[in-house]
Amino acid sequence: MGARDTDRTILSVDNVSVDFGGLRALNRCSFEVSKGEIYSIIGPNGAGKSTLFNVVSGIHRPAEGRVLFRGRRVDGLRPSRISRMGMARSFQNLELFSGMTALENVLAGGHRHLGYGFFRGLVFDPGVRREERRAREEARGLLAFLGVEGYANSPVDDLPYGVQKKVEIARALATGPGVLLLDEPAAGLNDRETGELMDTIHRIRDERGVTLLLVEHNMRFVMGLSDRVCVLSFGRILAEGGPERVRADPAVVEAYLGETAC
Amino acid sequence: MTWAWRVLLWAGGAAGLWWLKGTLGLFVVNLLLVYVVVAVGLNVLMGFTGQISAGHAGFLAVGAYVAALVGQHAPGLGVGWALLAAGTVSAVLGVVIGLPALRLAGFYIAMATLAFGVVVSEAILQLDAWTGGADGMYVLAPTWFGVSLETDEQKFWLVLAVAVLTVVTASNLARSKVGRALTALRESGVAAECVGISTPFYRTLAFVVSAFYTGMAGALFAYVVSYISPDAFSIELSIDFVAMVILGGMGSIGGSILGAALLTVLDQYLAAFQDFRALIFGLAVVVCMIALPNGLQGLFRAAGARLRG
Repeated sequence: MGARDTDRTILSVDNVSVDFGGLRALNRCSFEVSKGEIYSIIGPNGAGKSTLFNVVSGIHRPAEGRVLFRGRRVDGLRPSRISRMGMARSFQNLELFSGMTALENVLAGGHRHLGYGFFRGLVFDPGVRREERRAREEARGLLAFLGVEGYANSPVDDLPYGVQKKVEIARALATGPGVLLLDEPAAGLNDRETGELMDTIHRIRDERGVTLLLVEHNMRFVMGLSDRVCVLSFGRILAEGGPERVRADPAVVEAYLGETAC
Repeated sequence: MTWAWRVLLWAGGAAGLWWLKGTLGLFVVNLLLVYVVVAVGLNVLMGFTGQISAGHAGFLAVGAYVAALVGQHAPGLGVGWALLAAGTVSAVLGVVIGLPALRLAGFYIAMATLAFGVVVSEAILQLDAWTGGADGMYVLAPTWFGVSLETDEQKFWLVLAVAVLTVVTASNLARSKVGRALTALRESGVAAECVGISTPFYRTLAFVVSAFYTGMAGALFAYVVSYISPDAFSIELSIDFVAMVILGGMGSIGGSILGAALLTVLDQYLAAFQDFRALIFGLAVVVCMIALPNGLQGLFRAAGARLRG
């Protein structure tokens, strides 16, 4: 990605700090993600990656700093507000709605796109029926996009782990996001599944025009996929840039890559 | 569910009511239908969103007294308006309870609602200028386009109509986006928020809807028994309602109907053993929670699946 003027910036994290009790989980972190980019955050365990995700998606409130999404401040807003503005996410330890089928999970993701109100829901008139049918088709289409449409009517709890992860991504896409946050999408996947996931992520960006922000452990995955990488260690940003540049950065090698990437 | 099954279920329900009318009398059938409305309403709260209310007798009392007061002070008002008034006053109280309950989890919501039930009883006693205090008050028969619904049979058609309306609207709610949002919140609050489902809005909505149904049921209850006093709306009654929902199966509307029917009928047969009633109901709930986690509805569903192979 070339020069980044403000028009191209879709998400900007500006000087964000988060405290948990006495512990500073994030310390004055700043970075910007451009529209259409695949941007990854890497770092050792406890570096603050998930905390950063939780701040961006509104689950945590930063102690200082700002988060701007499409030019508007979102820090301090409820996650549901931020989601309705066009930000979606997955979770490191899956947060599917158990007791529902895969299709119902995706339908719940499309909640805000159903226009009928509470009272029409009580009556369930033909218009509501039509809307529900259309939403079902779209949800099925999303499951097909991720290659798991065969599991549409299975309860999510019964599905294999890899399928559950895809259902969760389908649910996030059902919200119609401009930015999709994926928290360790490759964790627990084998090599073949990881390859498929890389392909899926490219298709999410190219076919649906979604910007991706990833938190990941798997080095090969991140380096092969990302336009830019940001390295987090003990709540601070150590380095940022293209995969090659980051890989060569001495501070990064010392803090993180030194132990795993030899 | 296919149409054939649905027709069969409704027909079975009608036959069951007919049989009950013959054995226990129309008064018990009317009471049963009132409790169906309460159980379905409570299930919206307990089954869909997983918030337990141990004070629904309070909402029932509010609806009952609103209906009695409307009958006393505005006797010409049609039964539809009276029911709407009872439901609305109860729903407003649902907001009052629902908003602070947002800050509470599981067990503490049960405690707060339990306290609400006690407060309502106490308020009825204190407002004796209006409510007659411990002496209670008589409830005038409701009017339907100038016709006074005096007999049990006339009341039966009224209660049946409201019960059917309740079951139909609650089933629609369950399969609409609202039902999915409530279930999503129960399963994972954080994930629901992250797909744009607002926790405070929907958790409060569940309280409001539940209180509205129960308030309407309260008005029907007042009409059916025609005399109400604070001790009719005890904590035991609230617990009975919880038992109906659990026995029937949390989150299942068919289950709520079964639970309400079973407990109402059981109550009639246990009338001779009043002292053991709470013990037997309590044991039934404990056994049910251990042996039938999905309630009677789960049992029937499993049997149906086996029949179909």
